[in-house]
Amino acid sequence: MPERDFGAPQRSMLIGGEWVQAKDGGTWDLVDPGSEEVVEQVAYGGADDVFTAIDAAQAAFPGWAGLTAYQRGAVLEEAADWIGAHVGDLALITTEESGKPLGDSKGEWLSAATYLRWFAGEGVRAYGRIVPPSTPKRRILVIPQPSGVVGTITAWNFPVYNIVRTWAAALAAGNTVVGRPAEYTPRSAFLLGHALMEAGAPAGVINVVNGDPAAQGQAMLDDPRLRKLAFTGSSRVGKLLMDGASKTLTRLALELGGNAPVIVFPDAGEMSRVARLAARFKVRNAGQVCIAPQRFLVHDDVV
Amino acid sequence: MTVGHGTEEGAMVGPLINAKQRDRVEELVGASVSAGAKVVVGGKRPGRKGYFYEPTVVTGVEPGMPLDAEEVFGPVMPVASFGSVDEVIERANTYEAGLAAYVFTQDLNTALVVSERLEAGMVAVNDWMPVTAEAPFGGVKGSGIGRETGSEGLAEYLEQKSVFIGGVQLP
Repeated sequence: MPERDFGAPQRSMLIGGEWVQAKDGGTWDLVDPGSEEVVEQVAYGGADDVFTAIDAAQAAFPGWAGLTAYQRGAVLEEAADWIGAHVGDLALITTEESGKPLGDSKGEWLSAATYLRWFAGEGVRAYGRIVPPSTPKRRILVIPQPSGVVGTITAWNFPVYNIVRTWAAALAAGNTVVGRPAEYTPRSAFLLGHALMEAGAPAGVINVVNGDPAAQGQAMLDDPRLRKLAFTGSSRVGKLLMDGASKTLTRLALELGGNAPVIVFPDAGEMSRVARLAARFKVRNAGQVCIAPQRFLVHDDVV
Repeated sequence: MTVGHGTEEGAMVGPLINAKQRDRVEELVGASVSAGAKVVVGGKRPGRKGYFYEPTVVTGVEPGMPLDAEEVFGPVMPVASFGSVDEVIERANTYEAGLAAYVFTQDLNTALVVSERLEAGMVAVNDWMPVTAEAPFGGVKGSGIGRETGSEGLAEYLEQKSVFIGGVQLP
């Protein structure tokens, strides 16, 4: 259904600069939730693919961290340009796998370009400190340094945004990345990786895997070279990851569930407008948003 | 509020991601109705292929009902009423979730005090989208650890190393 097929980068894992099949040859039938039809098969593997990806990310780390923040930023800027040039095709791919309206998919890809550009600008401002010492003949410096290999495990509701907000920051700071998207929406992640490769990211700086969620999550936690794991998803799985992270003291970033109250006071302004916008934002992405307005609490004088 | 496939002209409400998610939304609505809530709009599947659920409004939603206590992740709007500021803040802060909160008022004092007292990582006052590259995004309590985006978001992917140099003296 998308007008253009990106080829291997649309359906394969990205490991060490190469578009590859799963080690065990596994594939997943990708379904369009708007039609319930299988649209294509994508690569779907397991723990082995994660370990190979971490090998590549670790190997690429010294070179990437050794570039200036300006050089890294230039890659992010060029990836943003590439996204802008291909946004129509990218949006079709994202809509087909996530179900969200085409305009929303396009907006999400354009926002991804914004995040890449913003972090290109922020990375060059990762200033350190010189601290006046309390002991004579001493100097104290505080220098910020990237951690190493950063992993991401992300949810299907924002298949581009959930990923790019972490990748852009981690890459700008000099880390390399191993990303595992949701198995329902992997192509958006593969293509975000493709954007970075087209922009000149060295092999191994960005790696994208797909496969059994438990096995791949466990592999990321078990491998001590993966220093930080950023997870977007349910509170239930967040707690499991926190337990597992204790094995190698993996640092965690957790973006879990919400249940947003919406408090409407009598002086909220034009009520019909508040109600109209409330409905519009409630159904955004069919309500599948962690910050979705959830519990509407309206003052007695309004009801 | 047109329900349709993402590629259909004018479609505003797409499907849920899969059958399991839709079943869950249906269960939350059904269980809340059994407990006394009332569906006033929607509350059913449109008759078409795809994991669709109609935009739904439910009134009489009390604390503890599934539609109040659980994150719905569907196009369902549970509506309840409140009398005082203290009452609504307590109700808003009830659960372990603490990601976003929304406040609608034109009064400066109400906006300031309520946004300070809400247990949330992001508060939107007269605003519907507290997400942007330049601001931190994240939750308190059970909604998460750490912040993405903003300057805080860059700092999350850096380690601070203290370097001490001793024996520094003039020749």
